[in-house]
Amino acid sequence: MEQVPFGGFGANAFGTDHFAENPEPRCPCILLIDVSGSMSTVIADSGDDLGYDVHVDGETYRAVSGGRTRIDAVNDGLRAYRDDVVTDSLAARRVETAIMTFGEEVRTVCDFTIAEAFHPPELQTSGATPMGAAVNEAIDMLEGRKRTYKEHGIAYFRPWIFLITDGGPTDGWKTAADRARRGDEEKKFAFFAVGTDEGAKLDVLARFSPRKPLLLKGYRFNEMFQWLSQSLRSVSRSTPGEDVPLLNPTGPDGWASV
Amino acid sequence: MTAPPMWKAIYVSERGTSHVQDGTPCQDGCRVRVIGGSVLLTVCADGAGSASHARDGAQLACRKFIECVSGFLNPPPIAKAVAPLAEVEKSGVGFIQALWSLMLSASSRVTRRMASPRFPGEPEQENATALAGDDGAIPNPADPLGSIDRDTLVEWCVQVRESLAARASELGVPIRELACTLLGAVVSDSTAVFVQVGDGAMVVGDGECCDVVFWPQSGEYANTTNFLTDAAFKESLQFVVRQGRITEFAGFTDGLERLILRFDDRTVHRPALGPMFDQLRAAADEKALFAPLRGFLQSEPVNARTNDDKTLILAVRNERSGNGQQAPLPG
Repeated sequence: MEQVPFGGFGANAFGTDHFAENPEPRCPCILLIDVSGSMSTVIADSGDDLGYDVHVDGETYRAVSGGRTRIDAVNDGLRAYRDDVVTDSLAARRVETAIMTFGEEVRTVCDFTIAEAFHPPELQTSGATPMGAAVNEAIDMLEGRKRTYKEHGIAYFRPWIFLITDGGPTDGWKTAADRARRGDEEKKFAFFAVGTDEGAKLDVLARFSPRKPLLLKGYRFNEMFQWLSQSLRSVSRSTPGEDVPLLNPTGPDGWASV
Repeated sequence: MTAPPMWKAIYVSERGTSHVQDGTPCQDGCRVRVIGGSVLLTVCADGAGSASHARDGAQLACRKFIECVSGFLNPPPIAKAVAPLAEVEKSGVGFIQALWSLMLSASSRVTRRMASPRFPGEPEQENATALAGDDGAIPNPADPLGSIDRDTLVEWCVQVRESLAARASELGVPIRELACTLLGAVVSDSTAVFVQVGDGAMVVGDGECCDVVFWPQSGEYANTTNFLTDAAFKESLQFVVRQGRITEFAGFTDGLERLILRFDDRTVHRPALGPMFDQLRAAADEKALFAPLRGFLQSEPVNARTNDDKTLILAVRNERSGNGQQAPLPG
């Protein structure tokens, strides 16, 4: 019997970010992370009191010899996030993550990268909380990314901006908040804001998005990042007409409260 | 010696890996029918992921569309729609056996056509052959598609939508629970009519592969499109009549868009379809290609590119019937 090789697609060479090799639709997400000095606050395993005060990010703290800080938890969470996304073969090539931090300055520490190639850097803390400028830059960055997709004929899902902070803006933020809120309402992107603990100014965060800001419960950073990766995995494999069901992070087993 | 049917077609709807994982059925539907031995009628539909009766909707839409067009063309009773492959397989009978039994259950002329080993055909097709000019063009002053206009197409779609609405009310659900796209084609010797609501695409060739009829309708985001069940579907309905002789046709749902179309310059990725058309054209018996098509749609390279349901309809004009002297049998 005649053996017929059907189709002409052959093997696919993936593994890069390039649109030619990976024409999958993209699911972009900007992680907008507060790296102000206060993110060095110890949240567990506090070391010995070193006997003096430090002034950081407008507050006074006691210096300690060591411990697990908020930013440590964020860094661990980023790695867990990456590990979870890459287990999903489709999401690994569709979910694109960028990291923008705000502290001493607003900085893009990682441009949009598919999960396969995403190696989150170790974030360091310093400075204040220029959240308004950061949100503006994040929206600009997303708009630029959409233009790039269009130029290359790459389809994309609704982008996410996921903001994590332990405080509130120390710069002018109202224009940025209006822009973020309007962008979410017009479905240009989805804007999520998370406060890491009680110090976060939830009333201000609420102005950035029609969604209620979330308050992290008991420093469950890992659960939060896992929820994020699971949610983006759902979005990245959604098909036309499908409502993407997101797990409720504020449920009894969730990582957040509102 | 009689002429064979003028089209060879194969078509399959396969369940996407995401639906395999969560145990939901294939929500695509497709049907193909050749009317009067010469007019190719194809339709495929993609049920919306969020709709609870998406499979029902897509399959009903395909069935109803074929019914509407067949009624319009008032065909002689010589062809019978073949059920989509998925349904054949579900019956539990071996695939080839099932296909054969379907063929044999059709009218006697179809039986005769399918049962003969090589290029059997129907007497009336010789008349079509006789109409063919030496240049291969078929002058046909009474083209059966000549009177089709946008209103006709809209009317067919309205009827399809009404059947979806009726089913929805039987089920006690809103019509959006049967949401689906619709891509229909009617191709005669010299004219072709296409209608599309939603994503997916149809591709045609006239010997040279290939043109996209309509670019897939997508919203800004990859997971948004239009559905026939939308209240404003008439606004998204695209319709075109193309003159000229189409010799290759492909229709597919959005699961295959990224394998067949090039989104950077909005063209057809020729290596994807060209070899399939060649093979279908060369096949002595197209039904031997259903299984390879199905295998292809379930293959690793395809599943690596899409987790969605995928439907592919491929049809080529059987030139050896309509144009035997210009296209002698190879080998």
